[in-house]
Amino acid sequence: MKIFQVFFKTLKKRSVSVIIYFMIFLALSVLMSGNGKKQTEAVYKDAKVKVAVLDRDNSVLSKSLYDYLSNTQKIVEIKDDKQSISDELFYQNVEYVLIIKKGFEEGIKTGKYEDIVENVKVPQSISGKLLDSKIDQYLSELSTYMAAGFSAEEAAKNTLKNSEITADVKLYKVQGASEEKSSAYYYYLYIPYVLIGMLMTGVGSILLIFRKKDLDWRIKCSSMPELRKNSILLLACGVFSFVCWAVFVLLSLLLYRTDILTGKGALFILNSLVFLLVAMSLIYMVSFLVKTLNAMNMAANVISLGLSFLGGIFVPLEYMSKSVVQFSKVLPTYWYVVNNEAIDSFVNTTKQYHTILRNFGIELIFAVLFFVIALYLSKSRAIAQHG
Amino acid sequence: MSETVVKIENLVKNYKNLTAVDHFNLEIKEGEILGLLGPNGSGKTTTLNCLLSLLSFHEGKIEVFGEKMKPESYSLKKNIGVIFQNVAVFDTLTVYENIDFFCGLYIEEKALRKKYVEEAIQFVELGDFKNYYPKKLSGGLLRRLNIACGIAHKPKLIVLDEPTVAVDPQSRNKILEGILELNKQGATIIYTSHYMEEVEEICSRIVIMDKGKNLAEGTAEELKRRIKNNETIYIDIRSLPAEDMDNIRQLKHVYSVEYSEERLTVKCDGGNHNLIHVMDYLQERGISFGRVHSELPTLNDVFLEITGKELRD
Repeated sequence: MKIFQVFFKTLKKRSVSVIIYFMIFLALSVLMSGNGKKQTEAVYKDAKVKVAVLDRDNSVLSKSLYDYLSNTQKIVEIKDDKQSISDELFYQNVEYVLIIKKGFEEGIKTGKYEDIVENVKVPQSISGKLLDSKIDQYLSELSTYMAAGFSAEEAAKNTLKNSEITADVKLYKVQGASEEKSSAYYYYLYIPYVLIGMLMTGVGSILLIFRKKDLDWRIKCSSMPELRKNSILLLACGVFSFVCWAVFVLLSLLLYRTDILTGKGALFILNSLVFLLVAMSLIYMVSFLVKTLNAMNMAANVISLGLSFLGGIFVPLEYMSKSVVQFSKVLPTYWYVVNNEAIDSFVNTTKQYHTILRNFGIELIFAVLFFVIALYLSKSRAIAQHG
Repeated sequence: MSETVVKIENLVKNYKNLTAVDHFNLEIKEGEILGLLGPNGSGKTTTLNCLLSLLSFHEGKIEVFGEKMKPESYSLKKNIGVIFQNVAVFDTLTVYENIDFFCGLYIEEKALRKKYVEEAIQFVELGDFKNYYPKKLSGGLLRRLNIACGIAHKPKLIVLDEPTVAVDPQSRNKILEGILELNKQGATIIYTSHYMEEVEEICSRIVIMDKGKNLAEGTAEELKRRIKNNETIYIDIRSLPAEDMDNIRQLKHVYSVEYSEERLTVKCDGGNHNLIHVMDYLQERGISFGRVHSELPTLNDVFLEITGKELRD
């Protein structure tokens, strides 16, 4: 087991860079899972404006307007003088001051209600403009009732009653973006980026050291069978990769216990385990393609970021153009992300179950494909070296 | 009679259109230090790589310890130690750990391995550096570590491919002394170099190689005897008439006389005291002369005469 020991001794020497990667990736992963969750918590909520009403008419209809505003906005009491209005607006105690002028009710009755209210509001306030329109609408309704022959009390009562009628608001969003995702979803979404980056700088660089021609040949000249050497190396890679993955799973248990200790949680873990196999095969393959440690570090960045951006980890798939999504389908990260979403929205239907299983299968096909390519590259390399 | 340790018959190795080893034959007996001498690109390293089954070959037969050598001949490999031209150690392991690792590829028993590793460290005199990482070692110490990694398991056949390239004279002497010591301990050694002095100093038999061919083999003395030139005499003379040059050419053993830039060069093909005959002649003729010196043939002369070119590039 000398090779096994040397693998981990060499890894120990590179542990600083691996740990730094681990910490950066972890911080990113946790941070982004938090941010991502907030960004998509999109719910419809009617805005309430802090409004002061100065009723100088004191009529049935002006009181009706006051009642309407107190039902729909946040009423703030202020003094009825110019200085107080300025101060309250300046200190942002109110956003909108409505002055109901003397003759308000008369104006409504005669249908001349354009100049019966006055307002002072925070400049460029969107909520202020919204309130303007609401008040206009209310006054218009009152005026309509009065014109129809209703008494002031009846007009006030009916208009107020109508204002209480609410409509169901349905937010139409792009498919997938509207649903609120669990924290575990975001945590596991970033796992491929973490795994590829970490394993490539750790395992990849050690494989590269063992493949240096002089060292490789010196080992080949020894009495240790080639198959045994390769098996031990693969075992060491597997152990390290599995430990890295297990650390991430344990962390997810600590951070998002309620999400993870469910059927969905188990599927998230299984999805990441399947992707671990993909990452291992990918790194094994890449280790035959790059020649220097610097190139391996560069490859770690390019591949982990490339697969993450194009596969839908950093940029949600629904924001990508159709052609990019078509291309993404040839990347393993795409299927991981699609599966992650399928798992998050899993409600135990047979169809969903089959979709998840199919995605696992596709991920495994990538793992096998990369491994087969790696074996081919290994064979070609051996033939080239052996002459 | 000594046992044959290595037998190479009609070895041919081609790289596309280039024939790197061309019907090469070699037999090495137990206890020999065989020097493979040849310029860069002569096929020395390729021959060794074929011998070690690191490279395949197109024709021929290679036997080690009486058995056909194949990539999977692990029982044979147990008795072979290899020291490559380039230092092949792990930068992430200390001197001790490196030797322990490579010894561990052959020796599984922990106690025995520990003993062998300690002995190897002592042998290459790296005791003070055993906890050093390779990057902290000088070029000479690195070469010694490279050797220790190749010999720690006490092989019966040691292949050294230019182990003294870019090594300071002190480390070089240590390495050469070490090779002689290993041989004394019973190891058969194959040593490749393009430094003729080294080969002459330590090798019991020398094979001269060029363009993948075995051009000549024997001890250094045997090889030198094989060539026409036995002694070269250099004498500084202001002027030498053509008549005198002809007369010198008539002297015993002289086969070549040249005079240029006030220097007379006389080559002799036999005898041990040719200088005295030339000096007698010059004194008789009253020809005054300055600096005089005589050189016995070197392996470079052997190589020059066999191939028509200098050994060193």
